Amino acid sequence: MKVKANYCDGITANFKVLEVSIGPSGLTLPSGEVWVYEKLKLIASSKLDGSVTYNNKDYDGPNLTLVFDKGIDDPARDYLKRFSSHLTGDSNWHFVRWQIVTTAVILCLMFCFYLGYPYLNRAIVSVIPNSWAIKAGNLVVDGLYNEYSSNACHSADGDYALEKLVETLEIEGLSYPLRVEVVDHQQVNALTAAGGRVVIFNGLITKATSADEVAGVLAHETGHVYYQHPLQGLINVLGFSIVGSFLGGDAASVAVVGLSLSYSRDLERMADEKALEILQDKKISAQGILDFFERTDKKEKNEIVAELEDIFSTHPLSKERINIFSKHIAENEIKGTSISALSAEEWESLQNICNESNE
Amino acid sequence: MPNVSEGISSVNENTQHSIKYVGEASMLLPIVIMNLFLTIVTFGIYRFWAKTNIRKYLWAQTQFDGEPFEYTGTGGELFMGAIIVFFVFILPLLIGIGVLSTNFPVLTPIIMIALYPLFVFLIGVAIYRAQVYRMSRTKWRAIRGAQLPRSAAYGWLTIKYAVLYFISLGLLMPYITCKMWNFMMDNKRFGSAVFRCEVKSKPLFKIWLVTYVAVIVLLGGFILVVSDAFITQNFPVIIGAYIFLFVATTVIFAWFQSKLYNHLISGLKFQDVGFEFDLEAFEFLKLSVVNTLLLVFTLGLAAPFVLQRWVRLFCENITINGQINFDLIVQSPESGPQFGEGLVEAFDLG
Repeated sequence: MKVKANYCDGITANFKVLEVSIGPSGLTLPSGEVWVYEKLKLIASSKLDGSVTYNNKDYDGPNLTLVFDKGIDDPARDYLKRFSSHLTGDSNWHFVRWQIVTTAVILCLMFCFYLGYPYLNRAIVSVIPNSWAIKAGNLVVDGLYNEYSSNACHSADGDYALEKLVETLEIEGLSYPLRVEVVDHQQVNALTAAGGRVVIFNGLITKATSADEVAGVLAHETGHVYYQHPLQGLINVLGFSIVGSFLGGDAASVAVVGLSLSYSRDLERMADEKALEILQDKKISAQGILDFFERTDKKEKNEIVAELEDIFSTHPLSKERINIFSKHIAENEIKGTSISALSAEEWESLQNICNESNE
Repeated sequence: MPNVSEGISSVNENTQHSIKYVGEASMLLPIVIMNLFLTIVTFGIYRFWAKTNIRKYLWAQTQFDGEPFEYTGTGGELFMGAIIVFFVFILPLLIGIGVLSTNFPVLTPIIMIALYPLFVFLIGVAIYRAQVYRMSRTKWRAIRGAQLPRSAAYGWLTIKYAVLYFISLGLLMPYITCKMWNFMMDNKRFGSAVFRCEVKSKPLFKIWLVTYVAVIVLLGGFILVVSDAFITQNFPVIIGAYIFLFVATTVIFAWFQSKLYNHLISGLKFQDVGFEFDLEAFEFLKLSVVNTLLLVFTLGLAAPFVLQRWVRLFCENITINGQINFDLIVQSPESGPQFGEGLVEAFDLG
């Protein structure tokens, strides 16, 4: 079946009118050359006049527009459609297929990025100079003090007790010395900033019933310092949030939250494992940190609220955490062999570090 | 290259040139739905490919002398463009600002002030570079378009005219718009053929002055009415005043913009061919209002349809006077950049 076609050679902007034969394998040009259907790339299909325009994948340049006298219902157009509905643009399947393939590739790349990200993150952290990390940590802690209009608590005995606790827990392999401070705030928490700066909120010390409990928490924070997690967290913000929102726009925010939570939990798990290792090495019982978590767990709260808090928490799920500590104690600790992190007097001095500081 | 010397007739048309948009909402819908679904699945990353799909469709449905345009860009090129700009420009800039602010906190305000002209410059560069990419990926009758690579010059122009606009309190807007438009259009090519544009701003000043004064009068009246109504707690008057201000400014700007577009496009020349654009203010107003409502009520999902409506309006109102000698137009020597529009992504310029 023959049809009129406009041929553009890609050299000049004029076109030539040809008579093209529609055959079972392709379009035959007057010269006898066949543009096989597999090599045709549909550029445009007009629903108005039925015309279809193709490129030939074998050539970089020319295109061919088939012009149908009777428009969309031309018998030649129907004949062409028999060989593939994609040829007339009447079926979207060809388009859909490629979009699915593209999406699959994007998803694979995203998954690879997700898997490789922790390694990439650590590699970036390893090249950041310690002086930068210390400066960044100072900025964070100073900002915190400004926010709470407070400063680090100091008292002679309290400082001595805190120093002893830090010395007891200090381990080899830290990129920078630990610098631990207590801030006068009732929040039951402790945080680690980059550069080895650890801030314990006084509320945590008040809530604790023994020095071992505080030692357990401090061992956990030392774990963060050991792995340089605060810096990793900073890179994490750059990595997930900025790259994510830049490439994915607003839709990426949801993914970023999910990935950040997952990543933060991994870091917390690592810090927990390191804390258990430190406590065991220093012969301090992990019972302290276990008691502390059990007591501060959401017992008084509604179960559903507790579950939801767990899901959106940056820390590992409470139950999971308690199980790990219990298992460690059962497997590695022998009753009566552990030592106390501080003496009774030292513990009392630490408890009063902010009271004496205020006086 | 195939041999087509046999059995052919060479044609050099001698008819009125026409530009037509033949797309329909029903044809665009499946593409939009697919784009939306895949963008959600990939947490937004697919948007580069989605944008390309829409462009391919819009280009293909626009016909000049019955022949469709072709968009040859790919989603991968846009994605790579964004990645390159991020790692070569955004990330070093963020790190640089962070390091300087940390080590020299005194410099922080100076850095922030210095960033303003830099961003204005880069926005100009981004807009121009996007044209370089899009023109190089636009084909008609297998001939490529081109935008000459003069993005830095356009960036400087943007700074210069932004300062002028600010100093003149917006009064020199027609002059600035015409100068920017002339620069952009003068550097466009289709194959070996050149676009020329020498739009003068003088005819626009009267229209702009009327718009400017009308808006000032409206705002003054609005402030008087609303401040009185606030004192007396007369909420119906406050709401009425807001609605009146919105409607009146929309009408005034629609009138001005239709005149502006008519003037700008009518000053364009290609070879010896001139363009005429004759858009009625009411038609522009009607389309703008419907498009805004479409965007508002679909939370932006109707953006491709809105774009389609604009393209159709453009095609319906343009007239081409004169004959183009297509034999004289040969393939463009410019192949365009390898990747595109990363800076546009960085500044979210669409």
